[in-house]
Amino acid sequence: MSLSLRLGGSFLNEALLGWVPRLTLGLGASKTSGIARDSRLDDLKKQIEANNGQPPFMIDNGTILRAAPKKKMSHRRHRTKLYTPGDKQMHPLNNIVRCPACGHVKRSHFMCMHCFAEIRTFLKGKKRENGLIKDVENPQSDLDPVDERILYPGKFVQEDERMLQKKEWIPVREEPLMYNSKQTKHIKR
Amino acid sequence: MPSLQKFHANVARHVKSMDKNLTANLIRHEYIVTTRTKAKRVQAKAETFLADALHRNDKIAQDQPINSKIVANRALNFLQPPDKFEVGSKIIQELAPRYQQRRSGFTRIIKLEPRLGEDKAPMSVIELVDSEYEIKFWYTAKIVARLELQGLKVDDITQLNVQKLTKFRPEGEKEFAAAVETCKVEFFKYDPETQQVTDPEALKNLENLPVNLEYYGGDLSGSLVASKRFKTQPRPEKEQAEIPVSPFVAK
Ligand SMILES: [Zn+2]
Repeated sequence: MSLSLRLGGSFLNEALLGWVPRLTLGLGASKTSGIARDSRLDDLKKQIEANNGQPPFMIDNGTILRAAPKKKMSHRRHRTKLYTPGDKQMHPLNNIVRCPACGHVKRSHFMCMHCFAEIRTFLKGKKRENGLIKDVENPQSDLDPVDERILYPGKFVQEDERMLQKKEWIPVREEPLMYNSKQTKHIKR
Repeated sequence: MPSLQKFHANVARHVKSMDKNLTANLIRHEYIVTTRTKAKRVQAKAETFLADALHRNDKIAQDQPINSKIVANRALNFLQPPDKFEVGSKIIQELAPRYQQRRSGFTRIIKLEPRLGEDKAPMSVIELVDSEYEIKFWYTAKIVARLELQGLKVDDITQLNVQKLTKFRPEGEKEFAAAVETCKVEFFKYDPETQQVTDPEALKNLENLPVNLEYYGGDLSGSLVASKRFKTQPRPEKEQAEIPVSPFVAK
């Protein structure tokens, strides 16, 4: 990898171009010996042919490379994960049940967070209707657009500020799966 | 407001102040979402405070203005002075009629999943029972609404929960029936005019049925509430015994 980086992209292209046909040839020979050819190699061949003989811009998980760990797991981390006493290891959840109000999975004796989010939003709307929550209205919300542009010309927003404004850094709870009794460890009747 | 470095959970002064603030906010907002430790700690304080305040309110003469009632109620001195009038007037005007039949058990804790933050703290809701914004009330209403839309009968545990929720609530059963209709429209996109669920997502959600349908109006209904460990039978009704009138009692 470092070699190809140092020598530039052209080296990589030539290396790949040289490598792919040989590989397919070799695999074609091995197909007769009973081992199925990896279908991703065919995809790569198609992409190269469609791209005038050039390799695709990205060779990613879709074609040939799969997810790989970023770093080697250290000796200590590895041993801790495998051989520590059971109370330090991660345990599977055995108390998963079906939420009767939405049919998703939930932990028994705990509130279903999917329903809780729905009910809380609904109750907040109800409180707002009854006047318990008062939204503060911006006093300049009905400004003339021309006036607004003169009064507040706007400032240049940096890239990092724009990313922060998207609020993607706030963790969001993912939607739970639908409950299926065949997928739980202990089948409850 | 003290800064975070000056406000500790193991300083008695700060803990007391937290208890007072959480109690006031619980009464103000009907339910609050906090960490489990705080919820459990404030539950004891809030229960004692509410029981005391409502008990003293019963003893006070009712025909005086609200301000003098608040001043006369010594239990309200537990609150922080700025909260005393606002929260005290809510206790006297709203909570006293609501909790006429209760002497304890004004609050409920519901366990939630851990917080999605750095600390993964276990969270919970602490709420006032019999309020309009009671989370368990609406959750149970949602369960009943879903079962009705699926055409199933209500199972034992839900029936028990409904009975508990509506027992001391003023016009409880009527309110619960209205809440079920609201839940159908709100959460399952039910159209009350055509009496149909049209939203494809809601329809797909309604296809997920309980595992054993026998509990829902089938052969097994009534078996979940009965004790599995002890074979108990319902106690027979007492017969009315006729005591003969003593000849020594003057007529
Ligand atoms: Zn749910």
